[in-house]
Amino acid sequence: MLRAELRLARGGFLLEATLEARAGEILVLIGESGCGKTTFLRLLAGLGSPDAGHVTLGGDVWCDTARGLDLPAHERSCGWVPQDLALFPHLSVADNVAFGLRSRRLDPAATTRRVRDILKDVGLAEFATRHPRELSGGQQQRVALARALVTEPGLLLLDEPLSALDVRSRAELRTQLTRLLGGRAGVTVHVTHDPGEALALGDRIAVMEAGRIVQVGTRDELLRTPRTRFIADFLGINLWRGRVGAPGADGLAHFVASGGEFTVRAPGFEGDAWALVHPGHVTLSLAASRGSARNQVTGTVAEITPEPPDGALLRVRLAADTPLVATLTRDSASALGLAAGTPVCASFKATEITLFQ
Amino acid sequence: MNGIHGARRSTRPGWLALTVVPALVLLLLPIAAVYLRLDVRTVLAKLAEPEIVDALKLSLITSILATVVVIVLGTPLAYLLATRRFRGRRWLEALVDLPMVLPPTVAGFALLMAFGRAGLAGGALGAFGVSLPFTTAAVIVAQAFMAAPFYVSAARAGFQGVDVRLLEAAASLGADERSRFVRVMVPLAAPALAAGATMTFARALGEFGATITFAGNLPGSTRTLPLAVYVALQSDLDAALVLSALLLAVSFALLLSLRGALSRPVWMGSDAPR
Repeated sequence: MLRAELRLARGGFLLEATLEARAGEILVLIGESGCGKTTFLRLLAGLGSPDAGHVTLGGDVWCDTARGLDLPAHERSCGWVPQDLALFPHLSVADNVAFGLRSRRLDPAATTRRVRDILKDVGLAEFATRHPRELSGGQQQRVALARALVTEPGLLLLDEPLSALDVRSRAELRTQLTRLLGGRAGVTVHVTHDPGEALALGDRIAVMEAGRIVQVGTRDELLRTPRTRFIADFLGINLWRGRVGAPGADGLAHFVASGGEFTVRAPGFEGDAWALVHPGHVTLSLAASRGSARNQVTGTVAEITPEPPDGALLRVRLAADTPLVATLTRDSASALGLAAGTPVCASFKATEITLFQ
Repeated sequence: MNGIHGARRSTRPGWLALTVVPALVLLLLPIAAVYLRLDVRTVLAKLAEPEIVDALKLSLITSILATVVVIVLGTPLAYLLATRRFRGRRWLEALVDLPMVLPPTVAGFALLMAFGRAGLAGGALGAFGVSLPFTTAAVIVAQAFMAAPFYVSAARAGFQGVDVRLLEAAASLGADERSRFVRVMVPLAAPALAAGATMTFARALGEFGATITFAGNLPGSTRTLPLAVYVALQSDLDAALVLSALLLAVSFALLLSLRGALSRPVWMGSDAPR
C-alpha cells in the first residue's frame, strides 16, 4: 500500500497531491504536460524534497517532513523509468540491467541468472552484450524497464514509458507491459498524457490537473461520472465494448461490437475487450473511401461542435450503427460541406484501434 | 560541419590564411632551428652519455610520480568542485588555478618557505628527520604543485559533463554516492580524466623554475631534463640540442595524443562529436 501526500511550491507552481494505491495495483496518473506529474514522481522516488508531506510504502516511512525524515533515493525500494530512459551508455544491456542488483550486493551467480531471466522476459536475451546506442527505441525502452523491474521494487514509477515510440512498437510494448506488470506484488504508478494508454493499462486512473489530483477511480467510474471538464474531454474518444476473435495469419483479427465489426491488429488475447479509437484518427469522406483504411462506418452527421481551446478543430458526432466521434479541421469540414444530416463515411486503420481487456 | 558558420566560410584560401602566416613562422622557426642543427651521430652519442641518461630517467620517474600524486589528491577536489555548492567555492577555484599563472620561481620560493628547514612546516618535518628541499621528493612536489591545475580543471569539467539523469537513475537503483562515483562518474568522465592526466604529465616533464628553486640542480637526484638543458647551454651545445629536441618531440606527441590519437571508447560511437 502506497500513501503519499506531498506539497511543493516552486515559483508560481504549486503541487499539492494526495495519492493512495494498493499493493499489486497499476495506478495510471494522467494529466497534460506541465501539470506536475513528473515532479510528483520525482518526489516519490526521493529525487527531490517536498516542502511538506509524507510518503509511506507498506510499513516503511520514506518521507515525513513533520519528523524531519526524507530518505535519499538509493535507500528507497523504488524503481524509476524516466521519460528519457537514462540508460548507462558505457555499460552493456546486461550490465545496465544488473546495476541495481550489484548495488544491493546480490551474489554474482544469482545476478547473472536474474538478468538472464528478465532479459528473456522482455525478449532481449540475444542483445545482452550490446550497448544501448546499438538498440532501437523500443528495445531501449524494454532495457530500462527490465533494469527497474529486476530488483523487484516495492514501488515502480514509469514516466511516459511509451510516448517516445512509434505506433507499432507502442502497441507491442503496451501488451508486454500488461504482461510484465500484471504479476507484480508492488505498487506501479504509470504516468501518461495519453487517454488510450490510461484506459488500457490502469487498474485505477488518477487524473492530475494543475498540481492537484482531481479524480481517482476505475475506468468505468471515470467513464460514467467524469468530475471535471478535462476528464470529459479526455474521454471524448471512441470506445466500444466487444469481443476479439482469433488472429489470422496476417496478424489481424476481428473485433465484434454490438453495432458492427472491425479489423484490428491482433492484440495477443481473445475474448471480451474494449476497443478505442482517437477521434483524430478517424477520416471522414462523402463516399466510401478507397484508401488503406480497413474499417468503414457509414452514417449521418448528428452534431458539429468546435473543439476547445480555440475551435480550430471541429468535433463531428456521427449517428450510425456504431456511434462515432471524429475531429477535423474547419477547412476540411467546409470542403466536404458537412452539416447536420449529411451522409458520410468514417474510416480508420486497423493499427489505430487500441484494444485492451 | 555545415552549421551556421559554413555559409559564411569562403571556399578560397583568403586573407585569413595570410594573416596566420606570421604566427606559424613564430611557432615553427625555433622548432626548425633545433632540428636542422641535429645529426644522427650526435644524437646517438649524446643519448649514451651517463649524465643525459640520468636526467632522462629522473625526469620520467618524477613526472610519472607527480602525475600519480596529482590524480590522488586532485580527484576528490575536482569532484567536490563539480558537485557541491558552498561558501568560498570561488575562492577555492581561484586557489586551485593559481599555479597556472604563478611565476614558477615564486612557487618554488613559496614551497621553500613552507617546507624549508626554517619553513612553516619544515620544522615539524625536521623533527621526524625528514628534510624535503633539494631531494628527488622535492622535485615531485614542485612538479605536482605546478601541474595540478591542469588535471583538476579537466577532471572538474569531466565530472560536470556527466548527465545528472544518469546519476539519478543510478541512485534509484540503490547506488549510494560512493558507488555512483565509481560506477557512473569515473567511467563516463574517463576521457576527460585521461586528458587531464596527460596534460599534467606534460607540464611536470617541462617544469623548470619551481624545481630549480625548491629542489636545486643536483646531478642524478634533482637535475631533470629541463635543468640539464639549462646546464648544457653553458658548456655543451650539442647536449642542449639533443635534449631540447627530445623534449619538443615528447611534448608534441603528448599534445597530439590528446587530440586525435586519444582513442574514444566504443560506446561513444563514430558519430560522437570530437
